[in-house]
Amino acid sequence: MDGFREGFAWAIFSAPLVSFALILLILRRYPRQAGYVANLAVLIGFVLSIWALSVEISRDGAAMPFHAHQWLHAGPLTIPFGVHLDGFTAVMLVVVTSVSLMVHFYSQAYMDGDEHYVQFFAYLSLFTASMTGLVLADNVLMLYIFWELVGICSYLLIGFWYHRPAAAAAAKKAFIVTRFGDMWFLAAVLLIWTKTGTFNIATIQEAAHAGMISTAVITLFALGVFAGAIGKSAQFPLHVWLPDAMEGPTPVSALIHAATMVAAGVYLVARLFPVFEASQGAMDVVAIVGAATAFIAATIGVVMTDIKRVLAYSTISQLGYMMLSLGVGGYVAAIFHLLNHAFFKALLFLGSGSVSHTSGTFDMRKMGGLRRAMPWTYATFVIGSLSLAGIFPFSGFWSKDEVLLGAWDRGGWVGYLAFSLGMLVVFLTAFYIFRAVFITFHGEYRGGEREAGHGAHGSGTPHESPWIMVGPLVLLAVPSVLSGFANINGGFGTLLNGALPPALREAHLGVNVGLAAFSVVVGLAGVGLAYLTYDLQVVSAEALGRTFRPAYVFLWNKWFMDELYEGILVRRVLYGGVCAGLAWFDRTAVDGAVNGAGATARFAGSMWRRVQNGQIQAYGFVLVGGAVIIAAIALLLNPVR
Amino acid sequence: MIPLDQVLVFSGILFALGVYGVLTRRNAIAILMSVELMLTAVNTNFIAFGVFHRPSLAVGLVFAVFVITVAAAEVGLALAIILRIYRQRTTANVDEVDILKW
Amino acid sequence: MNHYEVLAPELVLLGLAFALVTLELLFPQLRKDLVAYLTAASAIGVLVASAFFANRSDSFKDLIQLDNYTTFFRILFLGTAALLAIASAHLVRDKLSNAGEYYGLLLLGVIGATYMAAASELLTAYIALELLNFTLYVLVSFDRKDPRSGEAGLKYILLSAFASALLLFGISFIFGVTGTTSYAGIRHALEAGIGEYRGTLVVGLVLLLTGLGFKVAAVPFHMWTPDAYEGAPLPVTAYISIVAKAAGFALFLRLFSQAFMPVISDWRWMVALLAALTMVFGNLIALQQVNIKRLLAYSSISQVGYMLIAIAALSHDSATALLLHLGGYAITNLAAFIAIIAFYNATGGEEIRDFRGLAERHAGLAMTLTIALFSLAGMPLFAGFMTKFILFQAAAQHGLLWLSAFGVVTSMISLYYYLMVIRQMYVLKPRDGDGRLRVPLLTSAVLVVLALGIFFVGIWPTPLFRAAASATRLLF
Repeated sequence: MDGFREGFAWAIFSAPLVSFALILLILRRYPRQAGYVANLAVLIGFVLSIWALSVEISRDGAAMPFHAHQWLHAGPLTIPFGVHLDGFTAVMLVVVTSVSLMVHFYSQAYMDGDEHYVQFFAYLSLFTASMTGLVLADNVLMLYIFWELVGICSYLLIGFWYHRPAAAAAAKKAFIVTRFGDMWFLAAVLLIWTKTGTFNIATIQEAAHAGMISTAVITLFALGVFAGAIGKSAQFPLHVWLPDAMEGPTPVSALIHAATMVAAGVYLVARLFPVFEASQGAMDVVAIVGAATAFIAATIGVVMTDIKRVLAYSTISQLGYMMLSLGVGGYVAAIFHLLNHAFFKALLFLGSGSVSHTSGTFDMRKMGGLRRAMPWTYATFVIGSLSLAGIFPFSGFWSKDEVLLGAWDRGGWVGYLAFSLGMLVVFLTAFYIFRAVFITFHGEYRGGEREAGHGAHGSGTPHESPWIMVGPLVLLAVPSVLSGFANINGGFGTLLNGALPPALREAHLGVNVGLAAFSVVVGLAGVGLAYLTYDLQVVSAEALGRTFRPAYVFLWNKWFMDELYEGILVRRVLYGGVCAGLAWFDRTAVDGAVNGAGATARFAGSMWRRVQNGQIQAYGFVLVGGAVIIAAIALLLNPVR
Repeated sequence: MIPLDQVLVFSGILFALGVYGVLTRRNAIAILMSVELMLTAVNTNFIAFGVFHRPSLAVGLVFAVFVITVAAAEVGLALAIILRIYRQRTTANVDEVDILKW
Repeated sequence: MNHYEVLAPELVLLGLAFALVTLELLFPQLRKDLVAYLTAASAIGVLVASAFFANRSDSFKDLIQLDNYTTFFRILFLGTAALLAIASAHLVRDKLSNAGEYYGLLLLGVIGATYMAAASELLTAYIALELLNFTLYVLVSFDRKDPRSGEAGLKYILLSAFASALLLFGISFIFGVTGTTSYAGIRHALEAGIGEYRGTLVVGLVLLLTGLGFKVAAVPFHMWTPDAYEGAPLPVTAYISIVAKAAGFALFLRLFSQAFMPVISDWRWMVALLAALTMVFGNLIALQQVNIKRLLAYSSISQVGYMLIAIAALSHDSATALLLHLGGYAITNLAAFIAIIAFYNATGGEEIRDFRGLAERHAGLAMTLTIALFSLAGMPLFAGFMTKFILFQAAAQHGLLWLSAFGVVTSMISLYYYLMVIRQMYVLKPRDGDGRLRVPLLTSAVLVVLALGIFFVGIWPTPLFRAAASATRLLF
């Protein structure tokens, strides 16, 4: 029985892998069939994931008794491989395969006619295989290997239109910046193996929980792992790659850079949560980095004009939110938010792709008024936005609320700092996403752009996208509304807690009505501000006068609120001051530091390159000098008696 | 019989002179001669240590003979290469041979 | 009892080498690429025959040791030489003269390299080292038309002779302290204690490390490497970077594990220091390179840094990891170099910018080179990750976690310069007038096999690991 179940678990991972191999080896000349095969493989993975989830629900999320197999036995080093299935991984599998399925589906239309259509589906298959492998891995080494593989897929897919210099540069930047985090992860893997002699996650968790590993080692390990997560999940200060990664095709942004791969960092920290729990210092670092990221990215999202970049910063901010939650001990809340975020953010990205499909651009200033031409896209986009803004009863509301509640309950300066930044982020999030909604879909159409984008998508009059693109939007809108109810009676929490050692399981927090109401009001305030700022100023004066006469007169004329909001508060203080400042800081200081590290390395390299001056005797001199220095150290350290 | 440490001091000085020559002489052939000087120091060492340890086994002497043989072959090869460089560039000065760098 | 049969493979090889030279003398009209295939066939023949020596342990008068260690390296060297002979076929025919001598020397070098691995006595090791060196001097300066080739040869021979003198001076001190030149004898003498001569021993060890460090190109004894790599004809560059380097490590490993284990505390930190310096400088200077041969020179220097970690953490585990890494490194570097040779034959370019748009000019070539570079950068699923990981793991196990972490961090830098090449191939459009490239069928087949080999070692390294483990078992 368990053998069957393990086989099914393996099949989730191998179906897309087989599809990748089939496409590369056989279907290179048959683009249509390649697309079908990729879709079918993900569908199989999705169905099996649903099966896995249902099994786990019946088991209350307890881990399946699968055993690790031996991959390589190298002296004292045994490299195992095996799958691990518990409530948490089942949820992640459903997230990954369902979003992947929607994206596969959607891409058949979006990528139609692209000269590398076949390659695109090959990469998507490889990515889906690697991502499910990452989720299923039962040991840190295998996890690391898949972790790097999804990085390679991300590199290939960001740089998919590699003839565009921006795409190629973005791909390279993403690869290198995330690898900068990854190397600490690998070092942490080496460390934990040296100290415990195992790669198995469950064993490491037990050892850490039982206090068998010293706190210093745990903290170092946790920080190394977190450094990997910082890179992959685009946390401050390694977040710089994600906005640039938007140069990739939009379905890729939806799948990899919104729903799944970037969430891998959160997944990793959550997976090793018992280890983090054993080190208060590491937890605080996670909380503070998460809160800072959430806040900084949200403020930057406010000033972006490219709709995909707004969504990219939003993703960074929301990932920070999840990290914040993990850092304050809100394990269930973080994963719950991850789940909800995956659906509504994928929805928003695919929506932005649909918009650009008709307008040929991602620049919101060239859009406007699209709600009449694209009613389906508009409706689903608004649902996603409401969910992101955390408005009752959309899914984002439930998880965001649990995150804030967790921070409040954590207390201490870390908890309250996280809570207050989190509350600010609620406001900013609602503001920037509805700013995007109003600029894109309301007002008059501003013409789009024919030449931009990657082909013949732009056209004169805006129109709704084909059903194969709208379908996934509608399908994703359903969980964006409903997935929040999963934890209303703590069922989701029970499922996830099954993955934890019994002592660490958390009680269901329930809903704090006061807090929930407050955060919804804050969110609505953000929406309202966006509405006043971006919708009213473009709606015709007649309609404006008819509908909003009293408020308009009161707010705008008497209190001169328009100048205050748009002119002073928004443009001067918010735009010119805080946000532009942060954007500037981001671009120059943080980006600069990343580039600077590269430049320093290059400079050091060039200095030493000069020593290589082609002169034999200079070479001989360095050789003798090296020998003499080593001999000198040897004789000084060990004086001859 | 000469004490061992005096021989070692002698070979040390010889070796240092050789190193100095390799690092300062510009002419490739002079550099080769300096390397030979270093090898002479090596041979002195081998012979001295060999006699000091176990004269009957003659390991040091055998080693020295082989070093001399190999060195002779090495010089032959080096001279051939230097000759070629000289034909191409009419110089045997190593500081003028620096197309390859950085 | 003299086990002359222990010498058989090398004697046969010697005969074949002379036969190849004579063949060209007797039949000057013979097609030059045919000589290449004959060389490859003879190397493979000896390789298959020497596989019968597996699991045999014998020695020739305690000078030459035949064991799995020797067999492992013999197979590695012969395989490399065979593939490089095939890869040289077109280049030697079109650009070099005296093909017979070229291929003869290729085989002679293998004899030197094998005896470096097999030697169990210092004089034999030295002569083997010089045999390999001599063939390399000639091979490096083989291209008479290219002034860079002669210059590389001059630099190589002068510096190498200098380094050999330092090495010999070191050996003379070790002989002086221990009174013997056999590895086992040195070990006994050191175990018995050397008392007041420790200073002399340390000086001897430093000089020995300098000489061996020169041979394997460890910083700061590496400076000949980039110049020799750039000046030498391409297949010779590959030969130095694989055969000469592996032979250097073969000698290094056997000598230090069999002779110098008792004084490990005296030299461990020296090797660790060299490893750290080599990783840092090899990777940093590589960032600046514009010539693909120089880039690979620095890349191979940084690989030496990783390999030195294994020597610093000397133990059965790390020695096995080193052999495994050398095997993976040989396959990866062969793939990279043979792809570059094929590119050079078709275009004559060897600057990195010449590779622009290669993906459109020959997709297979670009793909193979990318696979090889990813493997060198240590990406998972490629050989480079698995072998390096096992190596780092073994070092961490034996108390050098910090050095392993150093290796992980510096290998991060390496990704950057490999991506520079990949960028040229995939991102940039070919220059106007650059058409599709033609690659000979045999070369393509070799490249496909090597690319599959990279994945094989990266995903299923167990067979190679077993071979390496049995090769190193008798060392400790």
